[in-house]
This record gives sequence, structure tokens and C-alpha cells, in this order.
Amino acid sequence: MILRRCGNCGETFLVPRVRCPKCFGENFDEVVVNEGVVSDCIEIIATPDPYPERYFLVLAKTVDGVAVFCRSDKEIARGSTVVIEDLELGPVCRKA
Amino acid sequence: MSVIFDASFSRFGKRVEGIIDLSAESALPLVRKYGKDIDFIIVSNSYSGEYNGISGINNLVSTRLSLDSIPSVRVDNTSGSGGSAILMAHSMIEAGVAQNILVIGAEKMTSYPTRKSTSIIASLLHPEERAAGLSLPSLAAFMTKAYLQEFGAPRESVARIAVKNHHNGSLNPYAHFQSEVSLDEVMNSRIIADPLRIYEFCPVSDGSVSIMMTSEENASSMSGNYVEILGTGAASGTSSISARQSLTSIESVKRASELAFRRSGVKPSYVDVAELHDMAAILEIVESEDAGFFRKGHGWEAVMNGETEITGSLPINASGGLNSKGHPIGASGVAQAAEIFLQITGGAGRRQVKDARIGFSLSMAGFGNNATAVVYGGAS
Ligand SMILES: [Zn+2]
Repeated sequence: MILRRCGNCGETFLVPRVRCPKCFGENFDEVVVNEGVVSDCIEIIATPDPYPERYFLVLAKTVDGVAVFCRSDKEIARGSTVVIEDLELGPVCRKA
Repeated sequence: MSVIFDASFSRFGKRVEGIIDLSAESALPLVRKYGKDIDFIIVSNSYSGEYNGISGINNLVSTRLSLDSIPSVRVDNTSGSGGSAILMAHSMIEAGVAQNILVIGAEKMTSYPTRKSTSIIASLLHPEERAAGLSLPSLAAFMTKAYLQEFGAPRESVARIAVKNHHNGSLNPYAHFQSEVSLDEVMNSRIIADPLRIYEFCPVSDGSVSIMMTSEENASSMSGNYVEILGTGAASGTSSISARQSLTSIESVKRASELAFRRSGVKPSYVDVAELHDMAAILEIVESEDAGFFRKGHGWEAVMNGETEITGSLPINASGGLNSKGHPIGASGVAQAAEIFLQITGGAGRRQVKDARIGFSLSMAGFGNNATAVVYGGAS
């Protein structure tokens, strides 16, 4: 998963922007993230196309404190560390 | 000051008619009465491209009504389109740009399977967030878990929203769902996004609602009742879910409501009847707090105490809300205004709130991307 880090103030975020939301700087570095700590996990049964018909959605915090979402086929407890991997159908995670 | 002086509804639900006929269905009774005076048409609609393969719906609808020469515009602000349409009509009347505006809210959504529909609506999320398989129901599930945990609210308090709103919907002849559900039925219904169950979400619906708006000067020369728009507030929060500070509060709702109350000179405690955006049951509780009706973390107590029932001290979603009335997206915010019009003018039939004088509506886009709040009053 790729995050963006402001070259001026260090603010890190998931959704791309052309100006930093904190200092309005315009230079960013890409940060590859492959780990996070689970804040919450819910099971979703009515899912959108083209995703599987049932999965768990994990809300995790990266080391930079950025909240990110990833999919899992198993429930993962809060506080667990997860490994995040980008697949064709979006980011998935598993317990580290 | 602008006013609403008439409203017309179509039945919400699974309808066989196309989007243009549905739009015309609610508009026609108003066009018959006021057609020669209408000088602008606003069509609140968000997904006619995705669901119906139509663009420029405002012109197609105006021709269907033989109002070909009347200028029109489509307002798209996802689930908040209706509130934005009211805000736009109000502003145009205040600015003297138009005198008599026909506002039509319409959506036709049942033509696709639910999974496809969920995907279409999830397109309002950022691709980087949506990529994980995120949907609006899943965000409501995260919010529910966080709310229950943070404030020690019982699970039942969220389900009671569905019980209340299905009861209210059973009293509304235009509602998608016309029957009550028990607490047991809600709590044992199919899980959609854990812990939320199917009765705790709005259905996918078709439908349209139309209202007429004009200036107070014009309305005072008319014979019928009208309701004044005392104040409006529009506010945005970040559309990036991952950038939000809280899962249990919606910044856009707080700021839009504060603005509307400040501009109207009305306090939340003066409100007699409110329509909130209960796409998922938890949202009614969170919005009732963010709008200023209850202290943060205490909205669930008001539900448990019956304060938000039609006979309570602050009836919320007497119409049945999105939860029972249905949520044809472009129609919903207009339907809220139409419901408040009926309530304040005493025309709400079996769901009439006693002595309703001051009303409030909250139309929300996305999962709080932005919100429009309106305070109503001064029925003639
Ligand atoms: Zn910066």
C-alpha cells in the first residue's frame, strides 16, 4: 500500500492530494506500507461488486498513524499486527 | 425569505416506471396548479447516469411536463442532493433570480441487483479507500461498533431506531415499507455489516417528491398555507474517511446544523419535529447529537426513553425516515422538506406531530462528506 508523505512537514496520508492538508506544501514522497495494527474489524455480508460475497474489513493504523482499510478472510482481533499486501482487487491483510 | 407552499409525493418503493415518468408523477399535480407561474426547475438527482443511462435529466423532465422553455438544472450531491437543491432554490429566491421554483427530487435505483447498487453508491468514496471493498454499510458498521463501545450504549438502542421508524413508516402512505417490525425481528434479521442488520438499513428504492418554493412576499398573496425557511447551513467534512478524527461524530453535520440554527435565530431545543439522514440506524443517533439536540454520547438514551417517537418531546423521522420510507437518493432531501411542510401545516395525517411549529431537516452526502441543514417555521 502506498501512502504520501509531505516533503515539508512530514504529514502522511492515504488519499492523494496536490497540496498537503497541513502545510499546503506541494512536494511528496511515496511511502510503501506493508504493516499496521488493527483498530477494528467488521464482517461484511452484503458486499459491493466485484468483491467476494463475504469478508472481513480491517481498519488498521500504520506506523505513521494513518488509518487504512484492508480486506481479510478471517476475523482479526484489535491490537493485532497485520501484514498488508496490495492485490489486483485491492489491499488484503493477514495476522503477522 | 423563501417559503415552501406546496408538496406532492409519489409512492416510494420498487416501481415499474422509468425515472422521467417517476419525476413527472410527483411534479404533475403542482404543474397543474402553478404551471403558468413556474420560472425555474431544479431536479435533485444523483445517479440517473449510472442507473438509467440518462444525462441532463432536468431537460428531459421539463419537456415531459411541457415546461420546455422553463430554465432548469440538475443538482447532484449524492445522498445530499435534496438538501443542496433546497439550498439552491432558497438562494435563487433570496437573490431575486427566480420567483416560483419547482424542486423535483427523483431517483430510480431498483433496476440493478443490490451488489451492483452497493458498488455504484460506493463510487463516492476515494478509489484508494474503496479498493479494500469498502461500502457505505460497512462504514456504518464501524461507526456502530465505535459508538457502542465509546458511550456504553446498549446494542438494542440502535435497533430501536428501526422499530420506531418502521412504525412511523406504517403511518405514511408514501413509505416504501408499510408495516411495523418488532425489536426481536430487527435483532434477529439478516446481518448486512456486523453488527448492523437488514432492518437497520434503508432499502433500495425508487421514487420522487416535488415541492414549490417562492418568496414570502409572493406567498402572502396566496390563499394556502406555507412554511418559511428560517435558516440554512451547508458544510463539508473531509471526503477521505481515513483522514477523519472521529468515527462517532460527523463534522459536516455539526457545522451545517450550527450555521442553520445561528442564521435562523432558533435553538435546537425549540425544534418540534426533525427529519435526519438515517441511511443506517446509527446515523440517526449520531446526527441527533451532532445537530445539537442531545449531548454527545446521550442520543441513544433519548431513543430508549421514547423522546424521539411521534408522541415524544422531539419526534425524529416521523415520516419513517430513510430507514422505512426509503432512500431514492435524489428524492430524500426533498422528501425531508416536504415532510416538514406537511407537519407544520398540519397535513401529515396519522403521523402528525402535535403542535409542530418549528422543523429541522438534515440532508447528508456520502458518509458525511457534506451536509445541508434547514430550519423551518412560521406557518401561515
Ligand atoms: Zn505538509
